[in-house]
Amino acid sequence: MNRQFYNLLPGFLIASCCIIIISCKKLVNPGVPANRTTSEKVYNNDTLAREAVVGIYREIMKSFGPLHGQITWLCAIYSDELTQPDIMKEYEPFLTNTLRADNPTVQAIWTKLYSTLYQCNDVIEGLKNSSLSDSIRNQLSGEAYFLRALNYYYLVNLFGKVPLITITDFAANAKMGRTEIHRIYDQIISDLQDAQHLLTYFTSVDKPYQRVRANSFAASALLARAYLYKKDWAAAEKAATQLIESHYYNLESNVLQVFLSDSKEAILQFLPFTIYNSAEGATFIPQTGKPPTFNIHRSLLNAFETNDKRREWVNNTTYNGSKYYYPYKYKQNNGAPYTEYNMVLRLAEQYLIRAEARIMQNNLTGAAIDLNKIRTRSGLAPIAGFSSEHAAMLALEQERRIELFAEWGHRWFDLNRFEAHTLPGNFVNRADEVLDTFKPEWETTALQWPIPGKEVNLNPALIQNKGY
Amino acid sequence: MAPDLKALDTTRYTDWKKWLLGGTARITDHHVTLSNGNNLFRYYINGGYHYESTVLPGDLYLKRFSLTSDISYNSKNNKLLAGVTAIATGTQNNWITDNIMNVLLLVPHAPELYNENGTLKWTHNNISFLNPISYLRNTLRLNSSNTLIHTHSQYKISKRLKAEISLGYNRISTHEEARWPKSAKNPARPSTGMLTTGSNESQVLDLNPQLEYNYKSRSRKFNLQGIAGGSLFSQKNDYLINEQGGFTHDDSLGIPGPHTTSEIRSGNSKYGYVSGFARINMSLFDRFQFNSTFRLDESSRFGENARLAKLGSAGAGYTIKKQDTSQRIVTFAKLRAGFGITGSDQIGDYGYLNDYTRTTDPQYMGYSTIAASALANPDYRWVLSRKLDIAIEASLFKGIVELLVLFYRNRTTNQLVNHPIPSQTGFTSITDNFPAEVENSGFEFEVNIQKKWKHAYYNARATLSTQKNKLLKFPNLDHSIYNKSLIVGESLTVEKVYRFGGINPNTGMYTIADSSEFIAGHHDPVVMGGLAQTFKYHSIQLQATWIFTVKKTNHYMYYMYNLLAPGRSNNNLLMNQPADLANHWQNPNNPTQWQKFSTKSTSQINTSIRNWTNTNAKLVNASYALLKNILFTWEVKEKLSKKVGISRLKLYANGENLLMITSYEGTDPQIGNPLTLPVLKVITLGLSITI
Repeated sequence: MNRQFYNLLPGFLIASCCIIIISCKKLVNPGVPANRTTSEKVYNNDTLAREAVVGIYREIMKSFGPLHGQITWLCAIYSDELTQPDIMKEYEPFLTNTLRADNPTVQAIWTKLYSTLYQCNDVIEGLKNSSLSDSIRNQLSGEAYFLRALNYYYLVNLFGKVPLITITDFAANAKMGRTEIHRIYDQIISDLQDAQHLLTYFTSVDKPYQRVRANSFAASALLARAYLYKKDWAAAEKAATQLIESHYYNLESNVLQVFLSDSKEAILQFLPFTIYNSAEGATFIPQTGKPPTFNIHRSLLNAFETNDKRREWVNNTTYNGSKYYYPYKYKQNNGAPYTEYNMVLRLAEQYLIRAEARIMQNNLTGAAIDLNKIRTRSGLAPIAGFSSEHAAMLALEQERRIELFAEWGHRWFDLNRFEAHTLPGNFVNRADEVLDTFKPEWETTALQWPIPGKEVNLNPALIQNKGY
Repeated sequence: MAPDLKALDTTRYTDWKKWLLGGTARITDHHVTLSNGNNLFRYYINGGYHYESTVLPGDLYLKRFSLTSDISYNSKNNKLLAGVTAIATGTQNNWITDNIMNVLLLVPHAPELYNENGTLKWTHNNISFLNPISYLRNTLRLNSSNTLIHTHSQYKISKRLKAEISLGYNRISTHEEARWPKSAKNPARPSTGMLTTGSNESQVLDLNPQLEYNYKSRSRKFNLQGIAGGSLFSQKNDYLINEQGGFTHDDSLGIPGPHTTSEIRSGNSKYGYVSGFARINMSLFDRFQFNSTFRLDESSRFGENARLAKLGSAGAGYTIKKQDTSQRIVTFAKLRAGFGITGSDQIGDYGYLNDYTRTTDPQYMGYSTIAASALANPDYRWVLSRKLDIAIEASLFKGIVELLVLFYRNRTTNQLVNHPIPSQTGFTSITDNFPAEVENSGFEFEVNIQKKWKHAYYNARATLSTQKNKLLKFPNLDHSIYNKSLIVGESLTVEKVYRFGGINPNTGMYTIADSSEFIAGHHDPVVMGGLAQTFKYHSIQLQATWIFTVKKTNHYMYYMYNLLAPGRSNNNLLMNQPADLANHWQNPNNPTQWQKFSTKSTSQINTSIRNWTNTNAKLVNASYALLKNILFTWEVKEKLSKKVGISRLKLYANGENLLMITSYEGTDPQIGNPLTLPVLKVITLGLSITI
């Protein structure tokens, strides 16, 4: 038996070598494992393509981030809306307008906005060469165009010139320098026009009553804002009118209804799914026996007219003998059931956009009608008329300040785009004028946030903003 | 005044270093061996148990069980050799999830850790702090088991031809459970308990067939050896991770309820590596040696067009003096040189594919979602190194002294690294080939002295190596992301920084001497070496090993300044500072090394700190000599041990890291960062019994 075994052994060895060689090719070509998906797979499959788009919303909402709370409170403390009872290290540079290029929060905001942009670009690119039906491609790429515009709107308003990235090729993207502001607005507007045409009026095909995915009206609403910021008054008025006259959306007569999940004035809301309803509710509402993290600045509190129903959006707590007021637009500070969604776009802003566009086109009567819509809803007396454009603008700024306080950075962006009230030349703009009076370390270079220092180091084409 | 001084009881004093590191780690090691056999058949069985705790507080330990068996067989005609080795080990590790060393920063007057009702205290008079007990409650339990079976067989087909095949199978299962109970979280923020479990199973198959041909001329003047073979390596991984959250009670941590969440991720990966090679060894007149290898390697880690690497090497040797013990001074001397190209694929799997992560837990409107999780790079290639070495080996004084002098030079291109990239690309890093050529070169000296007497034996092995790392080429360095950190002609760890200008005696702030940067040094070890000595006399043996390194590293204050500027407070009271800083600048009349404290974080203060952290002040000498190991063994005389029925009895005492000589002022020059657990001193006592 032994001899037989020895005679067979060489043959056995040779045979096993052959098997090895054949299996080699298979071994080094491992294919794609079941849990991995490639771009081709994703954008040629209805379900996966939809999951990629819904994935953008999920990434925005899975934790606090720029589009989920952060911009609201950071811009509010950076301007004149909120302050802190106990100044925290993390927020101090925002409160005192002394950001540095190495600020980790600024870095995180930049990184997150661009990471969301990558997702949008990936969807837009992937669907261009996809075999999916037109209706699905239109719907999904329309949402990606909208979300891309939304991200660029915040980037350009926080940092000024930023790299305009619309593709996924990292080699090209990594070298890109900063793009002129007007070109970024051109992109925002063209993306929103695309979204407007590609999307339907419904929020989504399967759940039409929830406004938690962008539709054509959401694109129009952001477009109205973009035109307003670009000072294209006629276009802003037209886009806002589209929303106001659509009859899909109505101002809630009760201010307490405005931020609820079934709010009739909601044009777009992001859906919460974590341990809190809204980031704002979770952050602004203090724990029992604790001071609020952020409290409303006295100047904002004083700006409320008597009997303004929007005082319902403010609450207070007493701590160590001091009374602290905090934003109370959202009233839930914990998780499910979700009754308040993250309000991104709402009809009230469209009235204010149209009012401003009308003032600038010297239609002061029309502007008064729009402003009065907001005022009467808040239980305030309507304005009879304006004596001058200047007077109208003062009323508009006041109304925007109250209606949109502690909401998505509106106040900070307004201060930054409005002219100073006093003699022109004394101040760069309204922000300079307002903040100079009570922020001792205020410098005009703080009008734009620093480009994160790490980014400047990694990409020599990025030139830092002045003053950092 | 800092609020913590008003609100806290400043008479309290806790030495957190003692609390944290004051414990004694215990190590227990047991082994039982059974072995026997004859010329044809042998077996060996060993069972072991190892237990190791740590100096940190809490029930943290590592337990390991192992069973090794080895069986070998040899046919009577010596044609067939076969063996099987089987090893099974089980490891249980109780650890914590976070770096508890941060507790060293807690202020000494921190409040007591427990409330009267036994719960953890997080605030005192409205001053919040990070309760160090919370670190101990966030536990990490790691269990793993490893089964390895390795077979090896060799068959002599003819006098000149031999076939060999080895086959190995290895299976590693790991199970991990990390717990973050609610009671370990500050109740001031809304929080719930979390539990993450993960398991991974990895299977490795490793097959190495080989055919060897040996030819010797009759005169024995010419020897030729040819080897052809291959190797095949296949690895499969399957993992399952379950991240659970939302637990409101610690008792029910891990038990799903209406408000708990669970996110399950699972996946698998495959890695394959195949290589075939041919090798020729030749020797002429016992004086000249040549060898040459050619190999083709393929790895699944590269994209389709970049999988194959053609590698090879060649070498030659010349024996200057053949082995001749009758010679008084030089008994043997040989010169050899070699050159070769090697390849490396040390990167993750599937890096050439775009990767999307799917989240199955329906969250946004009840949909599953996917998102790109990494940038794909289909173009990266093998890392190639060209290696050159030249060596002289000699044996002197009848073999008492052996010498080796070696020079090596490795030039590596295409290094695969995780490049930081601007996050405007959507990601912060990408795996790619480094567009540079890097050279590592150095000398190695080795002296081995061995001397035997009748009852005594002495052996000393001294090594000394120099090394130099140099960036040879970097196309377009000025326009790359490395233009600030790398310099052609210098080490990759070069520090190009400003020159420190000392403290301005009037302001108490750090200054820089001039505004242009200079090369302050680098972080590579310059010289490393060691000395291992064994001395034996009768049944007593003493062994000692020293190692030493000459290098520079960051001053420990570099890490401290990066955490928190001295004088600043934070809301977790992790703000204590090194005792050295008690002597900081306070007025113009007392010159000191450290700048003034400040409770503020003004740009002035921060610039001043950067005047220290971005200058040569941070780079200090971290050379050290360490008594790595000292072992004393006493083997009890057979006559004595037999009396208690034991054939061999050995007692030993072992000490590790007992003595370090260094001028470095931190915890450990080998590590630098003071918030990393330094290498421990270990003393072991042992007993070995053979029945």
